[in-house]
Amino acid sequence: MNKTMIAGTCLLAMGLAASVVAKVYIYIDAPATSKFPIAVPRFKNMNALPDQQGVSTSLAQVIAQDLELSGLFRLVTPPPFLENTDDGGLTGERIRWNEWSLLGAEALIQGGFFQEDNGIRVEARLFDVIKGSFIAGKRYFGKADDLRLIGHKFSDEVMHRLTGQRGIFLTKIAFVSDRSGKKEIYLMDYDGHQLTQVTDHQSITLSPAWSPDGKQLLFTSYKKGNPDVYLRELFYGRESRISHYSGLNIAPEWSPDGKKIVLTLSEDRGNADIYIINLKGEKISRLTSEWANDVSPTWSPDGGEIAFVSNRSGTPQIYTMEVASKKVKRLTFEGNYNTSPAWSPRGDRIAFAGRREGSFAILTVNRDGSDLRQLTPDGVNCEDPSWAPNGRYLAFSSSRSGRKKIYIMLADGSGQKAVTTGTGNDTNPSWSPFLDYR
Amino acid sequence: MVRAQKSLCILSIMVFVLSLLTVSACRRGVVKDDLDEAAAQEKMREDALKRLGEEGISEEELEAARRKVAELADQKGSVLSTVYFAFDDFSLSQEAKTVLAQNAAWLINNPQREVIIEGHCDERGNDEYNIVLGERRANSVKRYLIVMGVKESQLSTISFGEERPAARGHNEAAWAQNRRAEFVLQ
Repeated sequence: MNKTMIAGTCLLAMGLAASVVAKVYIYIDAPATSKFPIAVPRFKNMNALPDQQGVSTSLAQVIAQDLELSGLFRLVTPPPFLENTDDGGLTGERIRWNEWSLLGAEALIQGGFFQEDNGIRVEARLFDVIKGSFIAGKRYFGKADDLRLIGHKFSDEVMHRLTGQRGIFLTKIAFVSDRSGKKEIYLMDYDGHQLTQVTDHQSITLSPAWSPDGKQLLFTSYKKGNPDVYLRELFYGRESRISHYSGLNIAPEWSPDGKKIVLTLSEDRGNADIYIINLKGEKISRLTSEWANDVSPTWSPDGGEIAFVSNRSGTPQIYTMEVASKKVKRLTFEGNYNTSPAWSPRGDRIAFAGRREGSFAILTVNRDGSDLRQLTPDGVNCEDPSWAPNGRYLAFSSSRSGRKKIYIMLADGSGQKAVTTGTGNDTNPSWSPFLDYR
Repeated sequence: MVRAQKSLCILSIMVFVLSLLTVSACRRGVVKDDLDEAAAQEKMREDALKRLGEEGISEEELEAARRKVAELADQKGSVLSTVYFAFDDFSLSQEAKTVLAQNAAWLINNPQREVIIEGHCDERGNDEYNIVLGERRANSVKRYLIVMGVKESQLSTISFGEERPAARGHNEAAWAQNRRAEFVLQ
């Protein structure tokens, strides 16, 4: 399929080789027939210094892993004679097109690096193997520990050039871990690398939620005894307690316009209800006033609706509400314990965790309740789904191999992969928006 | 019969409120504040009664329990025991009510002592939902104690959801230990 597409636009593309891309190599939303074959050989060491840190391999590995995780690519493993790292050039004239073509590769990444006194310079290029032509090239400069970041940046470039859509390789996942003995918030790259601890409350910290600009996190913490909502600015480390009404202040979610927060409060005689507050913690509106438990709200991407959990029917089920009219509709009818809804950034589907056959599974359903699909198997506990900003992937926590770990998968349930390791329990993943500042 | 018990119940509440008013007014001499406090307590009691009614606890049952509390109140030196719940449930079992009668008696005997009622859940299910469930458990207990005659000012609540299990382990034996309301004296 891809070969035909490329051949069909061959003449036109020849003249446009280095210009702004209009050609789409991979149609992301088309029913997947085959994966796009791409080769990512080791990067070339462009100066005479020995590659002591294995830069050559690690850059190629970061990119190869990104592309593989995307579910769109098949990696073509190059034989050693094609992975010659010391022939110097990265230009098209030196590439042995026929050899790559015989291996089945339709695209090829060629990269090189220069070790310099104060850092490392990386050059990476993307080629169309079928046409033998240049598609895109980028130069990066960074410190030795920026290698993963550089790799992810180029993966995003490859994704954009070949699919016309934005990659998620620079995004992060916030999550809760008890690896220090207490539950704290942590941040990592979407692939589990570059782990950093965000909070040090020495208490119970839960439910991280990203601001739409990716610069702030909301979360619940028992730091001062009561479950209150805190806002933390990630760059400055400043933290403020913004919601501390009596009773529960839990499960905050930022509105898509960044100006409001939807959360659960129970200050009204212990009734857990859903409220909207502003960033100063002042109440703007109360959305539910049921005697039942109403919790875990999530916004639709246009901000017009929320999905939430309520046990008003007797068991916890997912409901949606039109915020302006407060009109409520029940979304889930199968199973007797459905919780943690997450609205897809594309708007069409809602993910949640439901008890099926005694264990919890991740499911998705259309916003009108149709087309329910179970993404994780019966018998292994999976909870807390969170969408990647392009709506193509979900993060979740699972105890399938003992302790709870964060996993990622494609939105159809394929490609499930653990991205955290270690001794603690990792829960409550919250996938960041696109991070323009990275 | 039911009607008679109902009026008896109302009468006993009135007597209770009146005695409360008299006692506190004499003790501190700040009549207005104490009136407010008594009114608040009474409002809390009424609310609690209503909610317990909604949860299926009859007034007859409450009256019997109150008599039990009065008997127990004569025996000094009881302790505050933990009460346990069923999965995804915050209603009080017969066993829980028996425990709470003893706890109420102790608190009435020790009116200067304040206690935090901690609601807890087992590890199963969603942690946010479990925080809410834990609070429901703590509030069920608090309401019951207030109706038994414990001063509202002695009681506060917090929910830890599934975050502070009493028993480690991932089986029904451990879960049953963890679905609980605990009493922490201040």
